[in-house]
Amino acid sequence: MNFEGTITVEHPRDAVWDFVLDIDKFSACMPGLDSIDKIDDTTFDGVISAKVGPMAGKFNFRSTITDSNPKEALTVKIEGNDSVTKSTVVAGVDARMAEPRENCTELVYKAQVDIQGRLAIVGDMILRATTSLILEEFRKRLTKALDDEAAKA
Amino acid sequence: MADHYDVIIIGGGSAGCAAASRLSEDPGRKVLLLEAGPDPQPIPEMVAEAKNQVRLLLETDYLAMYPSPRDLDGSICYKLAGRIMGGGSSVNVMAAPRPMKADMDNWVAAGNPDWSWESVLPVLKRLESDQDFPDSPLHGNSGPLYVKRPFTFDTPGTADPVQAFIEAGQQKGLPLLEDTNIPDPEGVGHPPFSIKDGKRQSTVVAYLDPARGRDNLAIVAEAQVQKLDIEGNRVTGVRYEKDGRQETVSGDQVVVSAGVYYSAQLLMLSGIGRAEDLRNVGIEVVRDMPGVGRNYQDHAVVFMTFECKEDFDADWIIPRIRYIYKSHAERDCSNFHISLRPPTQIEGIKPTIPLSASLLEQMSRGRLYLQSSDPREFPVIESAMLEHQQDIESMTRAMEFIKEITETPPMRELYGELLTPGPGEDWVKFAQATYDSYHHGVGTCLMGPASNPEAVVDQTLRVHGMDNLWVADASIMPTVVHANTNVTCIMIGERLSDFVKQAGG
Repeated sequence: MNFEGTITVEHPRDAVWDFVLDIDKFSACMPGLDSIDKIDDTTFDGVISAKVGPMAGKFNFRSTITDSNPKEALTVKIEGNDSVTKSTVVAGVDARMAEPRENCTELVYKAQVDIQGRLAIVGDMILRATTSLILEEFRKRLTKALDDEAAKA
Repeated sequence: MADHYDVIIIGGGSAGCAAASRLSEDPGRKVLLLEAGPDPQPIPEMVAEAKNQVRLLLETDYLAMYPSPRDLDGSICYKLAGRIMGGGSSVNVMAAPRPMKADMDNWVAAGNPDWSWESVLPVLKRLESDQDFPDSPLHGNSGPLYVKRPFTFDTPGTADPVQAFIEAGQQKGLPLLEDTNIPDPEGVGHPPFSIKDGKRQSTVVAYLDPARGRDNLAIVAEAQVQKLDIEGNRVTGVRYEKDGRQETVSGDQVVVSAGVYYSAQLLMLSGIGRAEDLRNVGIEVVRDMPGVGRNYQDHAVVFMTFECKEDFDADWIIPRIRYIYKSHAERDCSNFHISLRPPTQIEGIKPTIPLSASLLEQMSRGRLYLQSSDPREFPVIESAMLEHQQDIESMTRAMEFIKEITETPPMRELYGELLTPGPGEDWVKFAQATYDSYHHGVGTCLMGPASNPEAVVDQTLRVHGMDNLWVADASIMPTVVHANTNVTCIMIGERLSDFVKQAGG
């Protein structure tokens, strides 16, 4: 399953880069997180709860920054499993940053998500739809957090 | 255990259990039923209790997941097959729709005059015990399969979206159908299910359990058939693995009823198939039959997901109501199931709620072929779904219809903005990149006359050119029926028993 898109924020690339590399700040922008544990500067563990119809489950994952080219590109690997089907989800995200004009950053992302196990039967469509909402919420929170930081500065 | 039988049935699925039960009614006929999956007794609650259907799919080992890449981007769609006694009937959603009359017209047009609607109706009647229309000339009232419509249009306590869905359908001109098991259904329907007192009525319950005590019926579960020995025009042995041991049995008649995927695979493993494909994986060609594994069809399902406006009771995982919808007036029959799907909630974002369009036909043809001669290795499945222009036009029209439905007054209270496909997204590409399987694969051992070079079995289900080899399951369907396939598979099993008896087997 492949996702791609662009998030545009009206802030300079340096500020955006520093922000997303700060796991505490980054994770605060991710909706749906039940808990978050910083393991080190490039790794955090998280838990997301989801309810599909009458069924509820938790998704435990580890997110690791595997490669970075400061202010230009970032590669993140996410691996996790769900509590209901014990399926495994592996996602690779490549993000590139550009500054098309002053004080504007484009975050272009491409993600490949593979589901191994029963979750693949129902998970595909749920992931597709919720990912679009999660990204939209992420964009909103990211913009607000960057606005707040800029206002403080 | 005796090592020779009058009839050996390979696969205890929807067709296989029906055939085993019918053929063993005569105590003089010795029947062996071999099933690759387990035969748990008593039936585990996860299988037996209808309410567990989704957990059964997600949490048990009673399914095989066959991967099939989508042509557009190589992403994987999984095709499910039951791997337990009862096959698909032990893991499916328990819906019991019949094939439509147009389906049987298609089968006749494919060179099978004995499969007309008039020919199969008596079999559809004899297999069922319809609780709602027992006296109708269209229905049976004393067959093994319990059939009942568990919901009505005004079932008390029906969740808001279900009522909204019913009203929206009517506003869009769809009539209410009290019975969808009619020759040409179209409208808002509450489909029949094989659920009795909350319990799944699989072919184990309906057919096999009442026959278990028969001395002339042997049942061996967890027996993986790996190869048929063939000499001339006859199968002389059936080789299977059981508890790590290799066993061989023989039968006067051998029926392959292992489902759309493994039936074709087993024929190929036995040297019956497209010669070039067999040689590619080092299998000696016994009979060059280019049609084995071809003619594959399935139902493609596309989900459209909306913002969910209200938090409501989602207790309708088993869809109570569906539209049986015709996308274009010129189509032969209704060609979609349009269904409600349950909402997803994740803290911090709006809940989402999908509707799905299941295309009940496939104009293009896929295929499956072996990757190796190892029976445990899945074949490659090329689905070829949503490729034909007609299928694409049908699907996009159904997607437009779904969007229109959500804009009707009753639905727009509950369904908000369309999220996927997203704004400006190409709906054709979206459908081709995201379709799922309705899990109704058919066609890989095509039934048709010998004049059709791709035909595998004749219209009595006997493999062309073979004296004692038969195929009976979804694989023989010339075209996928416009319905969930379980009842049609049971019908095929019933007819197989007739044909074997008529042949003196």
